[in-house]
Amino acid sequence: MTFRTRLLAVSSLTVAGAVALVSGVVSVAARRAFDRIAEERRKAVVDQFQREVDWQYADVEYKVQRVAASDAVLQIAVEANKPEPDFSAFFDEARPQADAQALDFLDILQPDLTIISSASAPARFGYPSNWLIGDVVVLRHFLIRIPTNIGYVVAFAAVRAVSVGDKSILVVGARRLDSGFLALLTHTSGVHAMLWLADGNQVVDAWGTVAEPPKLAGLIDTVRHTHREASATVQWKSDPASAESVVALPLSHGDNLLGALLVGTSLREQVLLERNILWTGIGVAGAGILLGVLMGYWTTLRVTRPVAQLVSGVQAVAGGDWSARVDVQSRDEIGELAAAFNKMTEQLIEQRDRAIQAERVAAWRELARRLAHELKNPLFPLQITIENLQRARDRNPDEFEEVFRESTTTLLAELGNLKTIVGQFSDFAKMPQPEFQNVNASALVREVLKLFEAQFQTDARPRIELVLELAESGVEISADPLQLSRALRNLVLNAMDAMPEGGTLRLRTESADGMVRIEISDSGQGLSEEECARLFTPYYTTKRHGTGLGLAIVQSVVSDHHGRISVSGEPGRGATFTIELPARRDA
Amino acid sequence: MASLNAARRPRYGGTLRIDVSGAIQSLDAGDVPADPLDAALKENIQREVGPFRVAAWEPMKTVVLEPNELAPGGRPYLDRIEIHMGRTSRDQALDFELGKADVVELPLADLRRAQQQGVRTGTSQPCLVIALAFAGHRGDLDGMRQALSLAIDRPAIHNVLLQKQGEISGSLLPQWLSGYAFLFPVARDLSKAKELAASSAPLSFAWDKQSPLLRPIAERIVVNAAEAGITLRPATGPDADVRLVILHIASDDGAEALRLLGGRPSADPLKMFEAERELIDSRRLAPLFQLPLAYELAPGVNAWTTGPSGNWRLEDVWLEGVKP
Repeated sequence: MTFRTRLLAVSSLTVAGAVALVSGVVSVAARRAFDRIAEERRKAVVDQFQREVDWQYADVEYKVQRVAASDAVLQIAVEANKPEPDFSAFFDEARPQADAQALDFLDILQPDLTIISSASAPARFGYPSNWLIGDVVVLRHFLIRIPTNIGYVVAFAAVRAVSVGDKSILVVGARRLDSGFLALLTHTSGVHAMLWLADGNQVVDAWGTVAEPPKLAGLIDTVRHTHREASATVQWKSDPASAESVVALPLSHGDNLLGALLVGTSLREQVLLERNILWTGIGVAGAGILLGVLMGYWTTLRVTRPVAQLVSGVQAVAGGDWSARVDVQSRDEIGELAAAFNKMTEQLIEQRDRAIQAERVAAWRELARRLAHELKNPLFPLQITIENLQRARDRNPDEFEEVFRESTTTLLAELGNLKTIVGQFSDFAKMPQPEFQNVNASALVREVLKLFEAQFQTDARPRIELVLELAESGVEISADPLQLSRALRNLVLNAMDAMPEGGTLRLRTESADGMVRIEISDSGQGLSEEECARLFTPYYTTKRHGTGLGLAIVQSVVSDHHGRISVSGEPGRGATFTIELPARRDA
Repeated sequence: MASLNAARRPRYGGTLRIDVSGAIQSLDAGDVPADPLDAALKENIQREVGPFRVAAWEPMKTVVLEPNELAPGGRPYLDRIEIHMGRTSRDQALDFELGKADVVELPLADLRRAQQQGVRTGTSQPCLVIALAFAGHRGDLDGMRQALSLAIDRPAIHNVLLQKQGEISGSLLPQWLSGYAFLFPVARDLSKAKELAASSAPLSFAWDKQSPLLRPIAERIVVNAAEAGITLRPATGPDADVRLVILHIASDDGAEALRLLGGRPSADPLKMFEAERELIDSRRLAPLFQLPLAYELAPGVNAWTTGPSGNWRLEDVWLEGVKP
């Protein structure tokens, strides 16, 4: 991954992450706010429920009190004080009283709870009340479960005792807790009041029976078992916006759970807002990512363009173009880096020029030293010989002739040496361009070795054992056989020179990785590390008599053949020259 | 009434307006209304043809009678009688309060209170029978008929719902007509009722939902039955397992009344008793009460009398405050 891509990715991810973080924080904050609002709304509804309950109790109490204070009930109370009371004339008194007071249930009872008159069940006169139990008599108001011909209902009830003389009767009135009551609780927008009745396990709201009470089963079970307030979230339809936070308030009479008021607070607004925030967040995040990508791209371009220029400059310098310059105008770190780079290349060029100049001077000095050294050797015998001639003519004219003959011979020999030295320098200067042709490296090695067969077999010098490890195939190369054989001859000669006491000369050819390798190893005195490093420097030699041009010529030939030469060795363990040349592709 | 002063002396003239709940379609002799009250109304109107003649007839609504000048007993006192049919209890009460009716029907539950309040009333002998009628095709209901008859607390209904009007009875013919009605058992035996009704299936129970007389009695019967372990499920229509019905004793003669009810008449009281018991069993009836007909009379209505079977005697009726 490039620096530009990384930078682009980092900037985009940073923007997206920031947007996502902001969206998440806003979403969480909104949810908490809505939870707080829902909790407040729930409390408001519960408070309203308590107020409505108190009002209902007060209203029922008031109406029961009015019934208790009526003339008809007073007459019944008077009748109850008679020795043999006859309540038959009053069996239908409760109904008009209940109608007048808008009570759903009204019973006029004897103290033992036997019905004198019942508005809801007039036919039950003389029977004990089937919805009152003894303890209610001591209560002002209470919640009660009343059986009807359509099942049980829950009602707000109040009781009053009417006493005349020693006897008393009871007036018990009740108003049903039904859909109408639930409608009072739904004035607040988003609030859904429901009533669960333990008998029949039915759930009703202000509009009738709730269609899907199983969704409330878990909440109702909790209330049924704990008799305490519980809450749950109920999703009525597949749309999450239909969800309600439902709080169940148990309705009890003593230890009997009569049912529960279920107050549902709509989560629609919360869900819609969260959805809006989510989609807005996604939209903003998308736009942010897009913007981030664009900004990142622009920023990356601004940042990476000079970097890329720097990279190009460095690559150019690495490729040898030291004149490369980076054109960066910015004043930031990148600009400073570019300026430093430009300054560095200028200094490199200066140093290179100085190095070249110094190297040239050194080369000239070395050349002068070598020339002086090489020329000094033959010049000194020439001088001695001429001085001998002069001395012989002045002092021994009789022997001059003989001296002259010997001296001229010597002079000719030294002049020949001078000529050879000059020729070698001339050859090095005039190295021709190779003429390539198909050559088998192993065959070439064998031809070179033929030139030295006599020397290997002579007894005039210590014996050199020849070891050949030549590959038979795969060693075809494209080369100038004359130049390459000359180079090999030089290396073989060097090896023989390195083994004045005799030894082993090993020649090996092989093919590997598209290259043909030729190794010439000797078991001579070896080379130090410094010698290995300087061996191919022109005019450098480890021999007492040598121009130092042999290995330079070898390196020049190998280089002209697009190959490379290396040397390895240790003092006392011989040396190995390795020539690697490109193998012919069509071989 | 031996020394009638001038103000209390019968006078001719005036229009008597009667509101009734019954509504009859025609006055043809062969057409017997299914409703016993309608039948009683028709009989009453037909009886008056003699002292009166039908001057106008609007089926189900109005009958107008005018005096027959050549009646054997002499011209009746009233110049005109308007009988308005199909009037509900509420309509009748309003008409009476507004002076639009001189005679209206009085629910038996209100009779006692009305009499205590000094309201002028007119009642007949018990001539209506309230009974349970079990489905004729359900022979297996004989045991339930007995159980239900034993489960019903007749005295409570009589004292409270009927305000002690009429009589508790296990017979079809009232005591005043047959003389042996007391022989039919009416006592409540809840234990035996429970025993007979053990593991019984619920029964459908129907009554005339429009009848203010039958509704509370039916509801009380349901309560009594439940106490005995008998479940009565309210239903409508003639196909119910049990129906609460009203039968009209249409004759002052016991044998004739029994014949009209479908029994075999006899001059021998013992055979009459047997015949009536057979009739009760064959028709799968459980008689409960014998009830009179009751009317509320306006202050100006005088000499209103009804026969034992509830028949009107309008030829004797005269109105006060009518200019001769």
